[in-house]
Amino acid sequence: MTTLRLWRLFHRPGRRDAAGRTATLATVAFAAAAAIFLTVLGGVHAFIRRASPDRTLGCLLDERACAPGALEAWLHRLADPHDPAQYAATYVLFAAFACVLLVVPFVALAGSAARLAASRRDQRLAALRLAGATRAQVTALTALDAAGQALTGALIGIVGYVVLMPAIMLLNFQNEPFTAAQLWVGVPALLATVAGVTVLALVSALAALRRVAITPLGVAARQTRPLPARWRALVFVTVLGVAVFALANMQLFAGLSDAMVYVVLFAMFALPFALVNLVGAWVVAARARAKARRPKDAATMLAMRRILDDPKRAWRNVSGIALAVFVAGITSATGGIAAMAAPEGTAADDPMLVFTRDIGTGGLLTLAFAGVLAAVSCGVMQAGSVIEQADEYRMLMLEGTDARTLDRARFVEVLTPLATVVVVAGACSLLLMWPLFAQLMTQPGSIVMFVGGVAACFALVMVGALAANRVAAGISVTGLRRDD
Amino acid sequence: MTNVTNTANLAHTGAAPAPRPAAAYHPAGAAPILAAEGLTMDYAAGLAQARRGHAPTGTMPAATMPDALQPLALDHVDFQLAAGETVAVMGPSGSGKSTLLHALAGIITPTAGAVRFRGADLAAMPDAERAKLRRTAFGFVFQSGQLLPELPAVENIALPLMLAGAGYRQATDTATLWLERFGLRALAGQRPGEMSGGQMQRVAIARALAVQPAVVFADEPTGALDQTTGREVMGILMEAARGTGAAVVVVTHDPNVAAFCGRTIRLRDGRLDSDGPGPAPTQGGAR
Repeated sequence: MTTLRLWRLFHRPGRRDAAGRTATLATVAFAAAAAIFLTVLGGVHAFIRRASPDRTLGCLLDERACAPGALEAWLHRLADPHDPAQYAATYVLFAAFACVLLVVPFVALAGSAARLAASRRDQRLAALRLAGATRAQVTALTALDAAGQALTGALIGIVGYVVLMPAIMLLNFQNEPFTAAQLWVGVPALLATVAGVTVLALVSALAALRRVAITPLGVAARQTRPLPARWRALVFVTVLGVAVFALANMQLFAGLSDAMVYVVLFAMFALPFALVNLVGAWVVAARARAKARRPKDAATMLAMRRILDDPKRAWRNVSGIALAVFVAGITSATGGIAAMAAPEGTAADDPMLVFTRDIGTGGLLTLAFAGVLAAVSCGVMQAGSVIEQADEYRMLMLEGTDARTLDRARFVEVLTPLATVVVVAGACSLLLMWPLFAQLMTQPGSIVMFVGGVAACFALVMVGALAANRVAAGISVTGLRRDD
Repeated sequence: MTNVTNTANLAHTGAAPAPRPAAAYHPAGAAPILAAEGLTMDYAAGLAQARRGHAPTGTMPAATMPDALQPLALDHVDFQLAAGETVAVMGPSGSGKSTLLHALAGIITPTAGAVRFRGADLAAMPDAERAKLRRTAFGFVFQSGQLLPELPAVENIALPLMLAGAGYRQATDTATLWLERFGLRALAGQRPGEMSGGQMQRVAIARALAVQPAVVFADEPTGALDQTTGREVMGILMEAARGTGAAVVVVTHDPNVAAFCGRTIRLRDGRLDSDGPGPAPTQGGAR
């Protein structure tokens, strides 16, 4: 039997098992990731078009391709200090930066979805091996599953991108709203996104499957995984200390070439995220270990042991919030710049004022997208996790555990890592930004924006996780006949 | 829905009570703590209702299909259990053994009939109260998969105590005593994935008995073990239950396991086939 036939055998209509449910979740995650990515890409595309003399990409890349007279008119605009065109290239740079920032949670979400696609298949795949399927067939079956879900999700994501477009067209940048033509990324970009999401899912699923040895006798019994090593914390503290020192002594960078200055700037933005990624699983495990030493009730004990069972999974569930915290930090700093750049009496359409205001709006938009990505990622992963635990929790309910205790255990299982990551990411972000933006970040507006942004993302992720808990818990307790 | 109504529904839909091939055995001189009367379970009707009303489990209406097409999982079964009594439930696969155990423990509500624990009708209790009863008055030992894989042995045993309101320190101290009693002190920090099948079942027994239950329900507790280990596990279960005064209901296919019990009931096609003193062990079995 070919792998494709096997795959069709398992994908007949009417499947409502756990694997089918996780497949739906994974598809939703792929769809959300693709829709948000395309929307942000649409923004970049719009700014590129606006930065082009005749509003075509060809003209931006090659002046000879410009429409007759367009280049001259553009140069004339650039010479006018009251024309916002002078900032057009900077808009493209900032939009691209936001896009790069969002690639991280996008890849994380797609990876989570792929892992979800590959999970809950142990039993079925082991049974297939017992029935004579080869390891290659079993691997290909999982890869097909993940790729199929990614493809479906990405196609739904395109629909989501088109549906979101009218809302984005309401936004004003450079004192004018976006048009559909500016936001439309074109068919090649859509195809590339669909292919990219599918390939990403395929790679992630195969990587996830490599860690599970599926033999005809099933998968190996769960063993204690080593907790994240302490060296991560040591490296984190050392690098953070060096970075803070360097940023506080900017004269060290005097005399650097322009290219090196850009490298330093990029490092300044990338460093907090890299550092928190390095230490995330360790710090979540450390917090859970401390709470597991003397848990205050059964729900806390269950939650902490679940976290310690796989701290990396717990960290991955909430890692999206770390980026959202950094974006909130950058947004609050830029908000401060906007406030300082608008002395009294400045005209409302002053290009500098419009530019700084747009940076603030862009920052908030990036923050909103980062928050939504984090919430979807957390919700999907948590729902998958609850479905995975269904048998254990069902057994606990048979033994008389009340649903409220289990709900609380699931809640604490998300809340503890989430709060830990927000505190660490927030502190890390402030420490690194302080030497540069101390003046900006002490303004009440900046503080409100930072705290408000973090709180909003925190709430969004919590709502995502709670909704996922409710839905998944409802699914997992529906009647199963377990008689002789 | 009360049991009276259930029985009335059953009669109304034409599913006449079947003849009772064996009368329930009542141990002389002992007042029952758990009593079942006319227990009937029709999964087909329950599933049909669940599809209509999205009810996962619950009180189920009478059968709507002919018995020949959809046999009842339990067919008017009477059962009584005295305090401290040990009973084996035997019968071929699909005879209704586990269904009976689940109905007696209040995990499922029968289509008709009543289960009374110390005189209180389980079906009349709110779900939360039934859950509390299972948590505090009943203990459970299943064939496997009962222990939480994330928790070390000591916390697995402490869990029901904490669910009943005990603090962590108190619960783990009690759990440690149970581990010592079963010679498993060294396993306190081990997780189920790091234990053998026999060790896991011992921990599961300790967990079931830690709350000092009135009744322990064991569903094929030695089903995944070899004969020698199974015998050891049964010996530990019975001795510990005797020590705490708990009654034991064991579902099993194995006459050697049944031989550990003072009484054996046999089910066939959901009906009580026989009820009387336990069988003699087969060769190699022990009592």
